[in-house]
Amino acid sequence: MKVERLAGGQAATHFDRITEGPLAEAADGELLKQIASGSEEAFQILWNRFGAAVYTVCRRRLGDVGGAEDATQETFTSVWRRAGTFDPARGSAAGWLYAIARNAAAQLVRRGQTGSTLAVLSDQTADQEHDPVMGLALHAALTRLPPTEREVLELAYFDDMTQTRVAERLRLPLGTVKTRTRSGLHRLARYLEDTQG
Amino acid sequence: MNPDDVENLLRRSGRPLEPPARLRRSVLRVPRGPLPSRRTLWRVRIAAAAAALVLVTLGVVAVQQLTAFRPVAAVTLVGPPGTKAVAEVGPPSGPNRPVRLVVQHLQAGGQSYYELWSLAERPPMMLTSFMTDASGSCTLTFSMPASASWNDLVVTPQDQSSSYLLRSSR
Repeated sequence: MKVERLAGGQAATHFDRITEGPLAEAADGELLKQIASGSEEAFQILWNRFGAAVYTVCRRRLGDVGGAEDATQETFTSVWRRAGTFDPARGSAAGWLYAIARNAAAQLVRRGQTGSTLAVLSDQTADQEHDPVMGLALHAALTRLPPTEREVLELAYFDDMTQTRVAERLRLPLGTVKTRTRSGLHRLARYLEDTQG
Repeated sequence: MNPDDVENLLRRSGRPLEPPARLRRSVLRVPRGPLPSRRTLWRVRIAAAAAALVLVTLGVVAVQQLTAFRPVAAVTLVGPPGTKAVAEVGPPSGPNRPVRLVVQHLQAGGQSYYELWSLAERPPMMLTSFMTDASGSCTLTFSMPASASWNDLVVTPQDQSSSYLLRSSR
């Protein structure tokens, strides 16, 4: 997915097709560009893509539901107001979003609006298993997969099922599950490469 | 990034958490204007509830003040030692005025009914009748004509208007 696909006024003619139009397939950076120009549709697509990912980051960093909701709300409010400051030359959209979410969580802790402490806000303690930006990007990329590919990947990697078990669960031939898994992994890899620029 | 890397990343990252529906609604309203946070909303609700409570309290106090009994005169009626009554007379309210009568130790258990009379009226006017408790005491509030005099009040047993148990000092 390349930014050029939505260059110029072409995207504006497809804003009404949020889930199926070109804007729904736009790269993250292009969505931020459209948001900066006031596109609510782009904002909604960005939420659909990153909402759960940002909320997950906030939950893991803050630990409590209320604080995570506030931090997520704060993050997307900042995105709406400051989308124009995103510079793709300085990093990925996922990294930019992650930084905003991390700051929103830290602000909540500093203002004493959550039960968490600043100690939990270090990347080492909150996201010690992996690169948190990649985790965020992965969760966002998952939302862009066709549902048929997404469900086999979720069952296999989040619920730790074998492909045989996934095939039984979904009542699909094993070969179909393997095909969808392979296709989904390749598609995710491509999305993540785009994310990393 | 190759599929193997993605597999490892999927295993490490775990399933994303589903944000609550109210959060989605709240976020998607952001472009339409600033919204107060959830905590701010709660603060507003609590402040509104507190303000409503204060208003209700002030209203109750105001009503109490407006309807409070404020005597303009107090008449003491005396009788046998230890027995007395005080009649507090309020300001006129239309053609009548309120009166609060406090009776203490009036022939405990001796009578069924007593009567309060204004002897300054011609003919004497019975203002009210009442009963006492086992100790001969009671407190009652009643209305008397605003034009009636309270200069000479007596308490008599029922139907014995010439037998004064208590009488105001003249």
